[in-house]
Amino acid sequence: MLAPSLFLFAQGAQPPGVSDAMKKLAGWLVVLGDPNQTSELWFGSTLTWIKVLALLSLVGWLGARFAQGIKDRTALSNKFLDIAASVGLIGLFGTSLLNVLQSTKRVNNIDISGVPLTAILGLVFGVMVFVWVEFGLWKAIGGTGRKSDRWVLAGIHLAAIFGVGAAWILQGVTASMLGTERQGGLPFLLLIGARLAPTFMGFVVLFQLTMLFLSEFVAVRPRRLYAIAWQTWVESFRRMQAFWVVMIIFVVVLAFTHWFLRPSDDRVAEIGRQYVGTLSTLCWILLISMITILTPISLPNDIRGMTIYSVVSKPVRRLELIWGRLLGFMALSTLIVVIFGGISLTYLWRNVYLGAIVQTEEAAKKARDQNRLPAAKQLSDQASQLRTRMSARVPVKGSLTFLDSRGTPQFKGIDVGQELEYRSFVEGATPSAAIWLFGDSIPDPYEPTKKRISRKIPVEDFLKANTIESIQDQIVNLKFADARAAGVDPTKASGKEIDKAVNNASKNKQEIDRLTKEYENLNKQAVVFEEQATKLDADQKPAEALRARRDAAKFHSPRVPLEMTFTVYRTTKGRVVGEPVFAELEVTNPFTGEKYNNIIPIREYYTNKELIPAKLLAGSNGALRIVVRCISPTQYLGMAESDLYLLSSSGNFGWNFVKGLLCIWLQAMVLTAIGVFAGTFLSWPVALLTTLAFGVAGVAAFGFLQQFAVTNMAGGGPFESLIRLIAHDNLMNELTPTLSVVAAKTLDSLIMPVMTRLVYIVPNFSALDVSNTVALGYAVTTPILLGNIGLAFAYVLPFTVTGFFILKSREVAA
Amino acid sequence: MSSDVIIETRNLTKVYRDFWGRPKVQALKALDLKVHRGEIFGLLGPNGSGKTTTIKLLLGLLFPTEGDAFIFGEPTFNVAKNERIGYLPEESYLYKFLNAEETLHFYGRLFKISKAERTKRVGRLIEMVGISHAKHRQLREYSKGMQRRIGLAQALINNPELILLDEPTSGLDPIGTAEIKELIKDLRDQGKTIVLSGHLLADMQDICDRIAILHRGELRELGKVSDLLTVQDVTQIKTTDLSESVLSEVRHVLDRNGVKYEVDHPTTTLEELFLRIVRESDQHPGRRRVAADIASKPSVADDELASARSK
Repeated sequence: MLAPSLFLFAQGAQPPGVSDAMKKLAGWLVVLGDPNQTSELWFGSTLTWIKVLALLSLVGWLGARFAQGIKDRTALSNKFLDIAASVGLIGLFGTSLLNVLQSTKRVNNIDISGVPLTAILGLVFGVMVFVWVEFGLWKAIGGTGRKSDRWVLAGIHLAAIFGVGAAWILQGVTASMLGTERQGGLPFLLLIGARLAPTFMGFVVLFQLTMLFLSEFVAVRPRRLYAIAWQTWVESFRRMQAFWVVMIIFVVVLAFTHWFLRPSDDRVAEIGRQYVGTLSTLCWILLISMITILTPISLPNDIRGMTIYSVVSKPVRRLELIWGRLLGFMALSTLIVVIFGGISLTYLWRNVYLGAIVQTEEAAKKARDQNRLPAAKQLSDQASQLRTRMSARVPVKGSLTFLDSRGTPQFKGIDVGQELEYRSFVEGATPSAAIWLFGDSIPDPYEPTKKRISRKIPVEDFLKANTIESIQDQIVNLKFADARAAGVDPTKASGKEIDKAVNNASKNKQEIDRLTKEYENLNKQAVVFEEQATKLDADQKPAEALRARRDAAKFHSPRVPLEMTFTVYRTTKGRVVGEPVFAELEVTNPFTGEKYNNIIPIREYYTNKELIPAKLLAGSNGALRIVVRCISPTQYLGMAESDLYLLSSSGNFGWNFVKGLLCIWLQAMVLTAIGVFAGTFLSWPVALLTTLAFGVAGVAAFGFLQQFAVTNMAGGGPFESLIRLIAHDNLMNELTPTLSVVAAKTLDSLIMPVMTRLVYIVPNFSALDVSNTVALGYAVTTPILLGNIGLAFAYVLPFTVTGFFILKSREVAA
Repeated sequence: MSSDVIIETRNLTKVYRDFWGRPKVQALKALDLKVHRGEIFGLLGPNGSGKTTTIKLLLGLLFPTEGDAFIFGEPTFNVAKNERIGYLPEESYLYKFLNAEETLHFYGRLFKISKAERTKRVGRLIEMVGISHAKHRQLREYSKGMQRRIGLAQALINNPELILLDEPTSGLDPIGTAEIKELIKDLRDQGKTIVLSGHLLADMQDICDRIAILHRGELRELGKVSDLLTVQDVTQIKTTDLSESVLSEVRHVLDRNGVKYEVDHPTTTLEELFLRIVRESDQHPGRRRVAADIASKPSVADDELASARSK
């Protein structure tokens, strides 16, 4: 059973006197019913997905039945209701117009007994339309004669009642968390009921559709899927010539790529990013273009050319027609991605590894041999940067907060007025600082008093087993466990109090004693080697001293790499032109108080590296506090959360590049599903345009749609924006409420609720895109990869299943 | 439904509508019929009479506006029934980028047939429909007749119990037509049930056991071909060629009894004549026996004229 604290809503203030059982019930009702609320547990996103599917199923089911009813003339059989509905629809438009007139102050607000007139009119006209739809639905579904549809219709009415019942239960429990100020009464019931009931109604429809889908799914046979996939594959090669076209374009573009990719002299390390980014983009563009053109054409061509007759007259399921096509196109995409990947890796090997890294390293060596030490250092740094980018780094990131120039905590740093810069800044030589917190439970920067998040460092990844620091870590952890068992908070207690608690608690004492002896033994041996090294240094024997230091180092865990990429905003040129800006780095273990300080020069566009002692992590319980200050007066250091991290490991670039290609493949799969889906009910030109629209919206406009979803668009909806565009008016100005502005705002108020829901069906391609991660030399980790695979299937499954239902319900020979 | 009945329609009606749902054409009106196991059933009618619509409704390619249809006792929307059905559409709607072998393998994979068995059937069917010489050519290079043959082969790939043939001889030359008709009869002899549609009356008459005549979507006649074609008030006697004396005796008897009669030599059909000529040509290549040859021989008048000119 889930505790109420698992739910987002429960983190807010609750009215006093609400029992735990009621909170729990309310939590369930909200989490299950409200599409904007979910659980923070692992199934949270899946639950949201199901709720969105339920809502879309409800809209689709009702829309299809009602439209069919109108076509069959079963839904329009009562003239009185038809007239009433027409009046209702016109009335709703009029009400929207009145609402806009009131909001733009052209008409005064009118209230009747404290209730706005627009609300009353909206309710009256809404009820007229609702009764018409309700009557039409019963007539239409009664007309089809399908028993299951009648059950579902009855079920969604019961679910609607349940939704209103849930709203009644929620009265007085958690209205504030549902984003409404109303508490109790009919308006609350209607408002909250309208939010919860559609989801519950959608569950009923989703259940029916799931059952229908499952009955189809169990009849799917691999041999038929294979046959359809094979036919699709052959068609792509022989009829469309798609493979050859794509290959020729890829090779031609690649042949001239190096002409245009030349990094500037101060950003030599960029060459890797440029090449990787360009190759990934080229692969993406060609694959996505091919899919956009190919997939929506196939099925409509089969229907138009009637070749589908000889297929569907065989025991082929409609789902097999769709999934088979999906598999065929994905087999083609796989082949293309494999070939592109192979060519790209070879190309990168020749141009970046052999052409840049090896050459730079050889140049550095040559400079060193010729005793040109500054040049050697510069070349060596460049080679190191190149190697850094051509790897797969696994960063461990913390949570970033800031102190402003007065030392006041802020969740963002200083804005230096660079609009396109996502970093914010700390001012030099002031209390201003950037603070990265790591740990199991640290305050959320946006809601520090309400919410806590986890940014725990996996200490075991950094501390080598059976080293001084590793044993130290174990001892501290055991001591902390004992202290906690004795009721002492180790983060607040003194060392003596903790030792006292350990002595009293017999549980881990023996183990602590054993580890302490082991620790002392290792430490003693290390000290012997270090003393030897000091002596050898004094005897002018550097080689032997180095060997002794290496022997001593074997008893320690290696230093922990810390990487930083900051930007610099210079208000003055500085004392010397080109002089680096300096940063002070302070790393603290909050449990043991162990500290490390250093002052480092910040090089722009470089990955600045610092190795911090491993002992900082001993007993840290995964927590660290890293503070970065700018110590150069009048200069600013810019940083974002991802700019500083502990480097957990650095993997193979080639494998990482393959993972990047896999994510491109996933995007192709999503678009293929959309293309095939569009082809189930549209002619090929319209299906092509639809697929293109989905692709463009998913790639370029998802953020825009997200803003739509939260109705946070500066400058209003599309019609108002059009007026601003024509009138050359900026986004922030309030438009004068002329007739055209009022009309535009009215139309916006009608279409915006529909458009905001587009965010549910337009795929978020940018979330699936990891090409930048790969190009910057960061690892596409297994959780990211699994998340992307899950996200891709979360789109593919509904699109293909919807396509199946459409294909099942349409006459292929009509 | 009796196990002997393979197809049954009850009040089967189809109305085609426009985008707005307004009725456009009533393609089929309340069709009631039964097709029995092992018979060749013909759907006969002029263009637009509802023959193809009936077949599409039986296959579930169209949904009935009213009424029901059953195949093997199952409703037509049940996809599993297609395992036992073979269908040849009115045109050969096949994938033109595949060759004959690939086509048959593709359709064969859609059925539960082992690879070995499928390979065997593909070879046999290609031979049976007579396109062995072109089995590796893509269908886009096929003539209409060849496409019809491969279409028929795909309809038989699953060795179906019920075969629906929509105008099976359309586009075929007389030899091909004759072969297909023979094949259909063979299939019937193997115990299969065949429903075929068409408007070539002679073809239908030759092979169908029973026919349904449709006109403007309505069933006008249904029954055995022999029953429907028998002219009850006329008697026909066929003999070998009679001498003039025998013929006059017969005439005398008939006149004495007041019977109205016609005496004539029967004519063959053009199809039979064509087939006989082609067969003879196959047996004796090079020999010409064309009516035009006879016409071009010099006549007696021509001989006399030539003789007069020489004098």
